[in-house]
Amino acid sequence: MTDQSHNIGFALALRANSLAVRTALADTRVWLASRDLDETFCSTVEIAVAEALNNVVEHAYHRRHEAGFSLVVRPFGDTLFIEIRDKGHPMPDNRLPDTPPPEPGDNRATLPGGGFGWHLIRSLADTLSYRREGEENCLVLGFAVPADRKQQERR
Amino acid sequence: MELSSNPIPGPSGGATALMITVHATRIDASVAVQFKDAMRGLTAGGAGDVILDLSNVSFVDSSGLGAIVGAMKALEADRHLHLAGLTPDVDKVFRLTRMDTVFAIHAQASDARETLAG
Repeated sequence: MTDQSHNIGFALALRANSLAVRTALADTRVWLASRDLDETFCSTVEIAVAEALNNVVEHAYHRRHEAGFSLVVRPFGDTLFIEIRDKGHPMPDNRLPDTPPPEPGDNRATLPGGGFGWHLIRSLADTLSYRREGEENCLVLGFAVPADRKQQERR
Repeated sequence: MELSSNPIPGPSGGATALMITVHATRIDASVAVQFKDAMRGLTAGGAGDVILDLSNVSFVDSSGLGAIVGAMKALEADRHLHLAGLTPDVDKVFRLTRMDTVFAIHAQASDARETLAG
């Protein structure tokens, strides 16, 4: 593998439904594994991307539209960027939600059954940006590639 | 979403708990509702604690996590849901959301079985 090949990412475009999300995640994980990235890093990326894509299916499209989304994986320097685009509803107020994470608490009846998605994305991604471009949502997640991997690349 | 259930016999011969094993590699948005319904079907009207063996599950997203929390909330107040065999990625989701603090978590299903068999 040449050094140059490390800069080649991959892209896919799929219908926005939960089975397509599985496909996108599987393809992303295969690509990450082919880069010899460690398992912890791969799972960090997979969980965050899963939540971002679930949000597209459930919130941007309200599960109704079978419109599409696109996902582009692009390594750049020490960071792996993942750009997700859809043509669904914009984020409320055109910005990322900043609601606090759900509290576990000690009362079973009031345990949160949801609301974990953005908390997971914020916990796992190192950078996060959202913009509305015309009729499109564009979310970019950045993940700092672990140092030992970077050493391998320099060799 | 295939689940199997096995009663865990107590010292007197009666069942003290129920072991439910998930035979799927993912509990995600596409199967979360199925999972919750299947759990309800296996636990409704029963008694004793429930151990959920997740050792075959390599991935849980927030919908899957919500369904597992929902399965616990659906149990009668005196029954607990124990989790066993969390694989690394599943463990990560529970820790990041601090939902690891609301379940009794066992390294393996056999540990949970020993604890509950009394």
